[in-house]
Amino acid sequence: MTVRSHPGDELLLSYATGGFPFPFEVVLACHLALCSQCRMTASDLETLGGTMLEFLEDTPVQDGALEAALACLTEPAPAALPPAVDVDDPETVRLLPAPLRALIGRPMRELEWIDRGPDLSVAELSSMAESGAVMRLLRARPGVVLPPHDHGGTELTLVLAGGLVDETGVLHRGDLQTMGPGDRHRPAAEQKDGCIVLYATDGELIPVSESP
Amino acid sequence: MTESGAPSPCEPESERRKRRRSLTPLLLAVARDGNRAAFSTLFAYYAPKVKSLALCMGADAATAEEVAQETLLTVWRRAATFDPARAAASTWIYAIARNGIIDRLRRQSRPALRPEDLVHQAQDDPSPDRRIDDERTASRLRAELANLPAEQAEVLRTFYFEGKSHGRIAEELDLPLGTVKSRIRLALSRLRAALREAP
Repeated sequence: MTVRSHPGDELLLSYATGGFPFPFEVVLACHLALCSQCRMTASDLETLGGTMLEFLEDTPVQDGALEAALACLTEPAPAALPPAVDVDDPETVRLLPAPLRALIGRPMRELEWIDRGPDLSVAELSSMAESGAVMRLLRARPGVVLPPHDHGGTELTLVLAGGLVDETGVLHRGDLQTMGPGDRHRPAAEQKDGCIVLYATDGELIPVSESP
Repeated sequence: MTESGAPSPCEPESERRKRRRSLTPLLLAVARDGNRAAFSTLFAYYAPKVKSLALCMGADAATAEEVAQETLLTVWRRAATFDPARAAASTWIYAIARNGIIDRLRRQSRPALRPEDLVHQAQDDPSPDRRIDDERTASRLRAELANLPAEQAEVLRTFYFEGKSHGRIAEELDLPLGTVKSRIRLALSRLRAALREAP
């Protein structure tokens, strides 16, 4: 399946230069894990970072800094980092991209899912994040429609399974949607499969009476 | 950026380009042999730059000094995981520096998520290997960077050296978000051409 909805350059640049709060980084890292095109862009932006760093003027380090570093060197340097321990659960491995699995470190069904109605449940991941933005997994049964809303801040939503439908179209696994103040929509889970999405936001949802 | 107009460590030095050192062989010498002389050369070149980057991103002087030290020690410890077929040495070191600075400024150590790690991790959707020609790509990039219109270069510098999101950068530069986006798009399209150009 090809990813069709991508973050813009300004998002990837904010990500690559370390300008985003942690929850946004997680959502973008998960998109990158599913999208080779954006991964290539992110890699380009890092290459650019390496070159930009060379343009940066030096600030002298303290006398003796090198000697202090040399005294700290462990020998020999380890040949490789120990491999990350992955979650051993087929459903979790199939649905959650590697960066999210590394973060939660357990099967997704063991997260604290909170029902928000008969057909909608949410797992709060913000406790693992710094303040300033929240991050959640949301699971909706087929056909569930959320109330129309505007956005008090930036919201990044990554579809992990099924389909998310709103006025702008249908999004599937790997697609990333960016919403901001003034963007109104009435998202719904696709009739066929429902959906699972990961989203992060630094603002509140603002209920509105009508979608555009 | 300093408000007095005095030279700031964030200013580029496009007019006086330093002779570029060949970083990859140094890094590989550290990886293969634990070569302390090669490490010392990398330290002398990078520690002052990482310190500048940390200061620009908001660290105080003592923290910046520590992060510079830690970054180079991480370079030593992880040198064996550097794969010259997948990333330029300068890219790899930049990623370690940036991650170290962010972790320090947030006072939070977090799981491996950023591209330094992405580059080296198995992906859910593996992309074809892309060989990056360290020296030539970097020299094309430097030439393009030096030729960018001033307002595009300013936006890029603010992103890379201050570590803020596009929204905050628009506020700081007192520009509409759309202007910031279009400057990024224009700058990146030129720089991508330099990255993609056949050697």
